[in-house]
Order: sequence, then structure tokens, then C-alpha cells
Amino acid sequence: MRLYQPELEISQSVSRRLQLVLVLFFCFPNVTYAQSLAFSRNARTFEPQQASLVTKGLAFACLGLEVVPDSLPCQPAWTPLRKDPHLGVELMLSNGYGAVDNTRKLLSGEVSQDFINSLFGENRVLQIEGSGEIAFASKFLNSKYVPKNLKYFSVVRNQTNPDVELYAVEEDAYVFQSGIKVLPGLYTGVQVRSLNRKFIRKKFKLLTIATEAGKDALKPKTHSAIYIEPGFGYQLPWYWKPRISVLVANLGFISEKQPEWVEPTELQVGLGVTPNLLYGKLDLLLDYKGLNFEEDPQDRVHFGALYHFGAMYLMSGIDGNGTSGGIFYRLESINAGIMYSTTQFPRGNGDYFTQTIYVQIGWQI
Amino acid sequence: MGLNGCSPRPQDPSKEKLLKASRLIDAGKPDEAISYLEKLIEQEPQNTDAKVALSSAYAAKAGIKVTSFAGMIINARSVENVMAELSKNAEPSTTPTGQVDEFLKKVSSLMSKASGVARIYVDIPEIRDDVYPYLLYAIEILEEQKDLKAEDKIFKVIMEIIVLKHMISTDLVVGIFQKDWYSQKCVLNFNKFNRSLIKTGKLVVAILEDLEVAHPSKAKELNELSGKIVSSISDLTSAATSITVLDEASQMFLKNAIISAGIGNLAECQP
Repeated sequence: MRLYQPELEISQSVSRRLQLVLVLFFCFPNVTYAQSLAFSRNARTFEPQQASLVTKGLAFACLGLEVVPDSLPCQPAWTPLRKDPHLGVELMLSNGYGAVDNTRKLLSGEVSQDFINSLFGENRVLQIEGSGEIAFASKFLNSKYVPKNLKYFSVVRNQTNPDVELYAVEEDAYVFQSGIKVLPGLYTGVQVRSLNRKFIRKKFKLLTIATEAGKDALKPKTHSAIYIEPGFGYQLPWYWKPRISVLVANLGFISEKQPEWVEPTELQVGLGVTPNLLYGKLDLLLDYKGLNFEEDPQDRVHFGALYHFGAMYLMSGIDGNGTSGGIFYRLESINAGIMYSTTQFPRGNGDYFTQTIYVQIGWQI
Repeated sequence: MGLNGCSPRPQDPSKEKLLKASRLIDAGKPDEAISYLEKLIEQEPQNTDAKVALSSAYAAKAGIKVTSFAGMIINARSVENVMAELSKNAEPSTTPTGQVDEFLKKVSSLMSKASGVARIYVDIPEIRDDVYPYLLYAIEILEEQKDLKAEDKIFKVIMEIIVLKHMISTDLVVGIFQKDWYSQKCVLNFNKFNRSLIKTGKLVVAILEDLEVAHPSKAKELNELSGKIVSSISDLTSAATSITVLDEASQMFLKNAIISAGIGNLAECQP
């Protein structure tokens, strides 16, 4: 009997080191002060990207996901992996939809007394998101048109002399993707994104609006951008299909650089495996990417899990800024899903957190 | 496991300290916020933001919540409306009883100006007498700061307007007749009235000076208005002094005239 098993010892040693690295990776950066979150500038509430219900449910860990059931893949290189073409329309809305009209007024420059009362009068945290998209996906080319993506978030602290942090954005966008298989398992692709955006992103004392200098505090800013984002993906021919995915995000041009809007070019990496589980498949995903590009490094790690069983998709995701989970059904020509997201866990800020329900319905052929 | 085991990420220390104070105020614990901020100010005496936060903690203790009337404050016309109310002039007297009439018109004019300003900010709540001292202290904290930002000046203006409303309903309508302890008759005595008048005038001037900082383009007009208010107060105290030597019949006429002018509180005989 062998008393000494060097392979096992090495593997245990590597495993222990990996565990230690993971723990340190998440815990160590607690001593850094990269970005103040004193006003809950949480990437989940301030992220600028339009994303589908499933992508949000996965905490944006989607680079390793070959096919996103309700939208285009996050990694254009996976385009050739789509088996069936798809044309669909999706509409997504979060709770708090009563604030949609006020958000649109705010972004059109209307700051009336009634509007201020409705936004800041009763609620300390307000959040609303709504979007629509028309998407076409095939083996060779994907395209998506987002006629409207609307987001709003505000938090008011100290009701006696209020401090406000506010983020409102309205955008429309076109996205084109294409990809080819270069070698067995190796894919490359490119994504072109063109968008027009109107936004307000500000932290201020509410009474600033009552001063002469602060009259333009809530004046929306606009810009247009075009990004050309190359990526590649490599899939190992193993059981569980482990794969790595790399995307160069936000590479392109913006019409006007504004200090409130930070969108630097970023190398994003995703890993994925797909084991069979019971009667379906489970995609386990790990991405390293920024959402609002101001996060600390450990908050750029996103875990997602997507269980696909028949017409049903169960999704769950977690990152340093929040947790989400939901369910999505894709039937022959219609689909629907619901998802819950919160910034209270894993690292909430006491009573200043968001809890949001998203609902999406769609039609596809 | 790593995510669950890690403590919340530390924030920017200065912002985190003020955030804690904001949380205590929002949680209905102004006393804890005051205690916390006073310790912070002891450690950082130059921290103006902490002093402004302390002022808001005292205002919270007085029951003030700006969010409940934020829209009205931010109304773009509110400063112009205040200036318009304060610019209204009393019509000069032409009657034979000129002195009394002149006095009544000036009092009515001043009360009309003050009430006009209070009407613009009708949604700003009244304050109870028991918490009124906290509001006064909150204003005092801000008065001690040399370089207040414009938005903090507006916060001070709001508190001053609340005080003005309180003064109109309590101090400004103090009677000008006082019971003489020897004769037990009500005789004219403008001492309390003049003191209230001057106090109200000073407050209105303070409001206008703070608005000058918040609205620099209107600073000249606001400054002129301040001057006019000071003159009005001065004229009124002089007018009051000039009618202190009325005989009994004239005093009765004055009393009736005050009641007819709708400011009957002034005719009450103070103990």
C-alpha cells in the first residue's frame, strides 16, 4: 500500500492554495479605498449597460454563455454556435414604474415643483428601469435595436437638509455582432454598438437647486458613442465544455467626454462550464468585468448559474454589489420571465439598499 | 464563503462619518446624531460640513423636514415673489388724524409684508414653542460659519422663515397697551412692540442677506430692499414714539382704529 501519494498531495496543496487565494481575493481588498460608496454608488444601480432579464439574473456573468435565451450573446465570438435563427421582441419593466413619467420629464429638462415633490417627497430610495429590444440572431450575424432603455435611481439622505444622489439615463442603441470559427474550439468575433444617450448623474444637496448657481444642477447631458468590440472564445473539447471568453469592451469613440460618465476601454474575461444536471444543463459562469467601471477589483467578479430544463431557465447570480435570481420561460413563440435583484446582500449599506423586481415578456419566431 | 465572511467594505472616512449622522437623523435619533457630531467637531474643529450637519440635527430635533416642502422651496419664482412682497409700500396719510393713521398704515404695511413672505412659503410648517429653541440654535451654528456654501445659506433661510412665521404669530402682535400697576389703567407702551419690531426687522434683513449669497445676480436689489426694510422699521419706531403722548380720548380712538384695521391683537392690554 502506498502511504505517500504525491499526486494527491500536490492536488490538495493546489486546492488549498486556490481556496486561500479566493478568500484573500474577496477579503483583502476590504482595506482599499478605491471608490467611495457613501451614496450607494453601487454598480448594480449605476451600471449604464442595457441588458436582458437573463443577463441581469446572472449578475452579468454572461461572457461564457454561448446562447443567451432572451437576447444576443454577450460574447460575439459565440455567434456560430447558435443552432437556430431567432427573431424576437422583448419588453422589460421593473417595479416603481410609476416614476417612468417623472423620469422622462426630468430628462427632458422639466423640473417642476410637483416633480420635485414626487421624486424626493416620500421615498428615500427610488429605482425604475424599463427597456425594449428587437433582436435577430443567427449563425453568422446578430443584430439588435433598442429603441428605448430608461433607468432611474435616486437616494435621499438626511430629510432635514437632504443629500441626493441621482442617476437617470435614456438611450437608444443598435448592436451588430458577427463571429467565425477559426480553429477547432477557437472562435473570434466582433460587436459594433452605436448609441445615443441622455443622462443626469449627480450627487448634490437638494437645496442647491434653489440657488442661482445650482439652477442647472438637473440639466441633462447628451452624447453619442460608437464602439467596436472584438472578442474571442475558446472551448475545450471536454465533458462539461469548459470555455474561456475574452472581450475588449468600450473600444471606440464618444462624441463628448463628460466627467460624470466614465466608460473606459476594458478587457473582460469570462469562464464557463456546462455540466449536465438531473434532466437539464447547468451553466456555471464566472466573469471579470466592470459594470459602472468605478468598482473595486473584487466587485468586478460576477458569478452566475443558469439551469436549463426544457422551456424553463432558472437563473441566479451574485457579485460584490448584489444578488439576483429569477425564472424565464421560453415557449414556441412567446416568452416571459421574472427576476428579483437586491443590493442588500452580500454587502449592504444598512438601510440604504434597493430591492427590485423585473418582469419581461417577449415574442419570438 | 469569501463573500459571506467578509465585512462591509470601508468607505471614504469623512463621507462615512457624515453618512452615519444622516442615518441617525433619518432614523429619528437626532440626539444621538448631535452627540456624535459634537464629538466629531471636537476632533475636527475646521470641519464645516460637520457643523452644517450638526445644525441639521438640531433642526431635526425641532421637527423640520425639508423633503416635505422641497418643491415649494425650489420654485424658481420664490425669491422674486419675496422681493415683490417686501417692496410693497404703504400709502401716505392725508387725513387730519395723520399721525395715528400714518402709524396704523405703517404697522399694517409691515405686517402685510411679513405675512406676504410667510404666505409664499405657506407649506413650511409652524413650529411648536417647546422645540423652538433648537431651531434658534441650529441657525446660530450656521451664523458662526464664515464660508457657508450657497445651498447651506438656503437651508439657513428656510429655518429663518420658520422663525419669522413663529414671530408673526407670537411676538409681532404683542399689544401696545400695558396695564399701569399704579392706576390699573391701560396706557400706551411701545417698548415690547418696538423690541419685537426690531427683532423681526433684523430677521428679515438676515434672510435677505443670505439670499444675496444664494442669488448673486439679485444681490444689488436684495441689498436695496434690506435698506428699505431697515428704514421702514426705523420710521415705524419713530411713528410709534411720536404718538406716545396721546390723551385718553385719542388713545381710545387709536384702539378702535387698530381693531378696525384688522390687527386687533395690538389693542390688547398687556399685563
